[in-house]
Amino acid sequence: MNGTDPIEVVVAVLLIIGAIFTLVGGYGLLKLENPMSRLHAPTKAGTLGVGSMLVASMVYAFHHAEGSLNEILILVFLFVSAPVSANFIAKVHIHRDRIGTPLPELEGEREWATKVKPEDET
Amino acid sequence: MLSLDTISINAVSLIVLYGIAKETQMYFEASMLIAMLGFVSTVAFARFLLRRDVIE
Repeated sequence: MNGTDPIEVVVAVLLIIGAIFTLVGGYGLLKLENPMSRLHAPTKAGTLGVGSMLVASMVYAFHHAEGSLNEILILVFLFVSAPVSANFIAKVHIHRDRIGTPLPELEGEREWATKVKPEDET
Repeated sequence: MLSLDTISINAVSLIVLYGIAKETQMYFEASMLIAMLGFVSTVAFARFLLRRDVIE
């Protein structure tokens, strides 16, 4: 194979970027010490890693067959759902007291909004 | 629980990679399904841990 196709180079670079971000996300998930900081490493793998792999897949599909924009669906869905699930995971960690340093005390009678039970509001 | 979310996201990227290797669009549906089920299961598991009940 002589004469490298520039599109293939673009696909390869995108795949390598995705692989690096996924690796960093997995390494951070293993190595960071408390759950709240462990939460932040895999979000990079979730958005940038998967995102660049999906873009690479789209570029490759456009180059080798009739391409389609189907991957945008996955991309948009992941980008919308990743913060929601990260928020839920953080709330679970707060409520189960696994955040390392406890939440700071608030002045007066106020309570952290996530700990107010729905019955108390009415 | 965070690892479960990460596993589903990484499964999406693995299936996309396999789809590139096979040069077909068939694996797109599989990765879409795994992305959706991963999100729904994460939210359901978090609700179960928070409220001890998924559907109130």
